[in-house]
Amino acid sequence: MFSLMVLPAFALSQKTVNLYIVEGEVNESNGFVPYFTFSTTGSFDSSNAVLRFDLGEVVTFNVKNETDFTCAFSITDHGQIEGIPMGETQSITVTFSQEGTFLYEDPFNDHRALGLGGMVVVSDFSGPEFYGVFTEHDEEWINAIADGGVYDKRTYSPDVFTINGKGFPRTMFDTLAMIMGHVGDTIRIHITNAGQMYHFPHFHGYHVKIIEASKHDHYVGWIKDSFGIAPAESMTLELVPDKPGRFPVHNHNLVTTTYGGNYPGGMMMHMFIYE
Amino acid sequence: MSRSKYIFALAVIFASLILKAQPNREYSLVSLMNGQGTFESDSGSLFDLPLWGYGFNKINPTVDLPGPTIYANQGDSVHISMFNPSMEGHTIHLHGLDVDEANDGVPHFTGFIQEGESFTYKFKATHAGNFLYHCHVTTTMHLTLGMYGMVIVYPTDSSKSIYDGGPFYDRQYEFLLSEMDARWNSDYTSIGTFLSFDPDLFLIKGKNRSLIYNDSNLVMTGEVGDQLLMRALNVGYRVNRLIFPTAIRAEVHTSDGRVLDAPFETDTLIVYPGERYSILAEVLDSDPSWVSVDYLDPYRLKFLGREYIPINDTAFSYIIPQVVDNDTDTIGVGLSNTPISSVVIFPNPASEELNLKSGLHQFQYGIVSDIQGRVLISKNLENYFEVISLKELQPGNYFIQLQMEDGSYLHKKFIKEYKSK
Repeated sequence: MFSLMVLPAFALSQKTVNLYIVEGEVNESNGFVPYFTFSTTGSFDSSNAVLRFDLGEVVTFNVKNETDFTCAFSITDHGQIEGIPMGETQSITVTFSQEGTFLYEDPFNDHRALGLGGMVVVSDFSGPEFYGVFTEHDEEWINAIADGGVYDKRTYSPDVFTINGKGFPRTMFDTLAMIMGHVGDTIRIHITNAGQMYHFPHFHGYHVKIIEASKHDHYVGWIKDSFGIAPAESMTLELVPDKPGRFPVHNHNLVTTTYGGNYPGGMMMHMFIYE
Repeated sequence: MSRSKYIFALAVIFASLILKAQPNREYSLVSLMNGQGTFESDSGSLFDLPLWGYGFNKINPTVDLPGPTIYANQGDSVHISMFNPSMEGHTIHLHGLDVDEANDGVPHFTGFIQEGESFTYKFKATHAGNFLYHCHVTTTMHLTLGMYGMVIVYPTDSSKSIYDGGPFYDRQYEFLLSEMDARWNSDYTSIGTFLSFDPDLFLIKGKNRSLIYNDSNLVMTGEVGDQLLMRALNVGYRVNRLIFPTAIRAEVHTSDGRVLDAPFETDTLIVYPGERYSILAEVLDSDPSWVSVDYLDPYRLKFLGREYIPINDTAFSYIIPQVVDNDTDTIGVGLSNTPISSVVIFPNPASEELNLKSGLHQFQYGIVSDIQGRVLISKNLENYFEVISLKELQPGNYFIQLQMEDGSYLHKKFIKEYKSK
């Protein structure tokens, strides 16, 4: 009975999100790398927009392709726009009836490797939440995919490693991934692997509880300080800090904690926990 | 509260503070950059490589690979004093022990131990289980050159159980898994970019090939019914895959120093960089066998190398792994090549039902055949978790071929047994 009364309220909470597929460049290694992201404003940001919705929201996405090649759009478990010709806008309406962290991407022609992979979070959680999209980049691939050129899938050799499109120390100035909180807080951390390879987050200072994992589902309920996240996987983590301190969270494939080949850099974010 | 009670309470608090400050365990280590290790080449000859690493602080200290194992009981206060006589700065990061910032060994917050200086790292061992330590200065290089070791925490009463109140074992074995790029170790000044890491030595507790089988601590032994605790810790930058033989029944009980609510039985276990597991292996067959330890790249979980942990096999010799390179340019990146490790079938042996679980792709189709190749069961599948009824099968050995939704497929072997109840 109660749920029947609540249902109409869900249906009423409709929202429209405009997404623009835009080209820019990032400077994370020894030069500028061409790069593509989803933006809610139309201007380029190296971080794909994190899209957070309440449970039950009905959302229409208007996706405008501002690149000079055909794109597509999908949200894991929620639907897909098959093809968006250059310059055009296409729409999809999605009902978010399941809590969780989901990858959204351009699934066409390996376009996620151009940078086109972000995170949708559906949550009724009211506490502090932080977000990290782990991605690696192979400049040769980006150039080849964007230009319609040839690349060998067997010799993938990424040289730039980012969280939300930023490498350490720039992750320290990213309000999405810079985890700040107090002892005893219940903090949720959403992570998505938008890259093509496995990544291995390691938490200093604290263990976290894995409350959702879209591919490593056997992890759910485990208390971990190190784990693997597969390509295109999303996870929701819960952190309850028991002491103050400043601690890194970084990939334990230490080749990825580099910037332009030097340490430290790349896939390293931080937690600042206060009394 | 009366005055005497008040003084007594104060005395108790004061005494407990003093006791707390007293370590139960003290270790004294050095960090060195002039070590040397012996390894076996593909051709079976032995060669030496320079190492960095930790050793006990004594006269004429030497580098141990791995560094000295730190042992403690749950509840212990542990002090590790480290003296650095080497020319570069080093630290100790206590991986997984959830120490406070001052003892975490991260140089960009707390600096490092400079040449000629010492520091004492202090922590409380709050959970039984398996942990790591390693240098956190220019970690990509310092760690793989040899600056790592294990921290093993026993239960409070140091009984032979995995954790307080947990299952008991007869013997325990520590398998610290890592890899090395011989080129980096032979001349660390010419490494160039850290992206060049390309390991060619695959190690178990700092050893490879016959050096493993010749180390009695690394050869598991047991009679039928013995319980052997395997501690598997990955301190490398590559993915490890343990494949257990049918001679043991492997059950995973803890991960990252935490007890799993539901221990699970498996024939394959992936151990990602930084992860640790406690696996209880019951000996079912005392004939010689081995656990295969694979080293896989983090891009497509492609096979890089294999080492072996012999069981009841003192005459073991290296088996060159037969590897089929599945790479073709028609295979997509990362996702399309289903690693066999991402699919688990259990229980094995099975009696009534066989459970199928996939960590990567949904199942699409399953075919069960006998060893003569006759197809006995074929079934459409669609989820990440599926159950196949074995009621129609006679006891014996069978193969299952599984096709995944991405078009890839894999084979596994299982045994149907007589109903045990």
